[in-house]
Amino acid sequence: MVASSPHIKDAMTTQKIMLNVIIALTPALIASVIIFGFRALLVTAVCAVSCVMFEYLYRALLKKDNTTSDLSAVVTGMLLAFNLPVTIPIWMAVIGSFVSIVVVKQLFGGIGQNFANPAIVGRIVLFLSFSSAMSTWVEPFYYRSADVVATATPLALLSDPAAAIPSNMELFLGLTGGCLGETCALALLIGGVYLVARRIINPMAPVAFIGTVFVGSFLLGLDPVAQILSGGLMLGAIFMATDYATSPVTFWGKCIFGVGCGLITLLIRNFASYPEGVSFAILLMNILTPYIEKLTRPRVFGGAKA
Amino acid sequence: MNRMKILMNGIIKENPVLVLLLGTCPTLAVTTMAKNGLGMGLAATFVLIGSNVVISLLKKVIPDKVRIPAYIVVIAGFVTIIQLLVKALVPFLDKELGIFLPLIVVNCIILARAELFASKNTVLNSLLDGVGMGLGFTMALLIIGSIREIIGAGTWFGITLLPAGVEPMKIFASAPGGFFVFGCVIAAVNFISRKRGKTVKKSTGCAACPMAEQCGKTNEGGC
Amino acid sequence: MNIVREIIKPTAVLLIICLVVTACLVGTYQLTAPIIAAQGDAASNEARKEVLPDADGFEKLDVDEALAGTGILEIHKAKNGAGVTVKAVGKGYGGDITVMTGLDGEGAVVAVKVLEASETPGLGSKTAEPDFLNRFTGKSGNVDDVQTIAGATISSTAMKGILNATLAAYDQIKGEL
Repeated sequence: MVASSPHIKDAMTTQKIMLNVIIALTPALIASVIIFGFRALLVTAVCAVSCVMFEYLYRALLKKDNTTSDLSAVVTGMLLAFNLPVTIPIWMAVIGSFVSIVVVKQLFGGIGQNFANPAIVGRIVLFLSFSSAMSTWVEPFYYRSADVVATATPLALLSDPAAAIPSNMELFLGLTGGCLGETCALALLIGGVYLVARRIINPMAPVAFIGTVFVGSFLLGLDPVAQILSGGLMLGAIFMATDYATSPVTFWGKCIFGVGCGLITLLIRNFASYPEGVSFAILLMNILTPYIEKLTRPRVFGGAKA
Repeated sequence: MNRMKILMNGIIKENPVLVLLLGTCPTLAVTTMAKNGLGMGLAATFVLIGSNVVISLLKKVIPDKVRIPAYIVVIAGFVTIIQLLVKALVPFLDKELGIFLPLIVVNCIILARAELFASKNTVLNSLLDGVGMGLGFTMALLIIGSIREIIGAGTWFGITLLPAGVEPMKIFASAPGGFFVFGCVIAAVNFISRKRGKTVKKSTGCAACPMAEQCGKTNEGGC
Repeated sequence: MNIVREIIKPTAVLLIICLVVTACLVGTYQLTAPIIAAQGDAASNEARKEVLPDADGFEKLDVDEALAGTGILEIHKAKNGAGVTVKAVGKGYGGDITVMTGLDGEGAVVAVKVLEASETPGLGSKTAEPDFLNRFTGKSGNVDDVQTIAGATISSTAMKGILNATLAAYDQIKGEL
């Protein structure tokens, strides 16, 4: 009696992978609550819950199997929330969840079939739709006083010659304005190291991405450390450039992907009209991923010439 | 074909924008507001009726060799006339439509109907076809324009619909939103017509093309 | 025989169609041209009134070749001496920008209105908004110290250039006022 394949099974499931990602995101979540207050937790919870709800409803309405238990919707919700400012109205966050889960993921076939990272596209749609709400930043620890003090993000400050720039240590610890999850580089790095140690992500793409921005900023005469610690670079490179479905699987593919993201980020940050380019860079490289994979397919030895 | 069928053809079954996928460029450009969509649709309908009638009248006279230049001259004539009339009588529409008003000349719908229908059918049938296709075009523009205006600007024909605190989603007023709404409306139309059993599944080749009936190749395989 | 039919008939038919269509166009044009011109005038007069509200009526002044070379299109003098309006054009980021400026009796800017522009929506288009145009109010001589909009440098610089040409033109013609 011979059973059919697969014959060798790993203990890893999608759910376990996603659970690890959630654990890796927790330091950043704690940091965001410390820096931006309880509302950070509210926004994250709303995003995660609405993502799960939309996935459940979509699958149920179209009579497909329920996939919410693989926790990928929760991860998408958390990542989307980390890309939003703490002051965002809740209904806008829900719209973002809808776009991420229904439009980017489910309409194309569900997990593994999305053409781009769902959280990134959700963020971009919200940014292009509600540009003023998506660009309202508050000072860290604003919740301690009664007033909401508006501020600018580090990237905006860095490009304004007259402004007071936060120190690199402040950038590292996240004591600046910005989106929920993007400010505290320390927390994100802890999460990233955890994911690499657990072999969930391959460090090649994040390293290539961050490295390109580092070198490029240096060549352009900017402070490279400040540039890699500002904006959504850490968050994007570690958690969104490593999405399995939308980044190349081959080693050289990941390198090209990372370098490409870095170059586009540099271009948009320094030569285009938006202060931050990480989200557009990741989206553009996601779309190119099938071609990158085709280019970097490993050569098969032997066999007839095609 | 009976008269009613010709008329209704252009509105639903062979809607030029949503089924035949003709004239998508002005559709996407002009549907940022419902009012502009309506204006463009009516202007194009006028041109379509005029050109269909004239070309049908002249179908025995125009030799095959010069038929395309002849059609274009007639169509361009009608477009210029309507452009002058719009400039004089409704100047705000001229400003809103901008270059897309003269671009009606190269709107695929008009040349396609001239070539495929008006040159082969009677004047009355061509007139009805022009009315039907024009109405279908206008309706599609109205639907897409309304959706984009309501979600993207919070108004409909200028009347503010969204309550004060709710911000409209600007992405729908620009290109990405336009394509998305376009795709959704096409999907909706496909869904409705499939439910009514109107489409018979044909997989590939000429038979699957919506223009097959006009070409006369409904039974052919590859193109 | 066949050749004659194959060449002469198509050509003749096409020629006749073109002639008939052209005749219709000429007819429509004759009918509509006066209406269109009148509308253009009304719109311009409204724009002039907007930038120089104290004026009661306008008199057109001649623009000589030298001034036209710097982008000046029209100069109108207010009948009651309230000042002048200058319509000028300059090269922006997305194309030509046409601007109407009202200058008071001393040559200081009263108001600026953008008539036509194709700048980037949301960025360069901000140069047509009151927030930017108000920066020119009260200026005379030149507008070099007016602050440009961040992220819309080319559009802002183009506007400043047009305003400078306008003020320079005023300097030239103020003797005739």
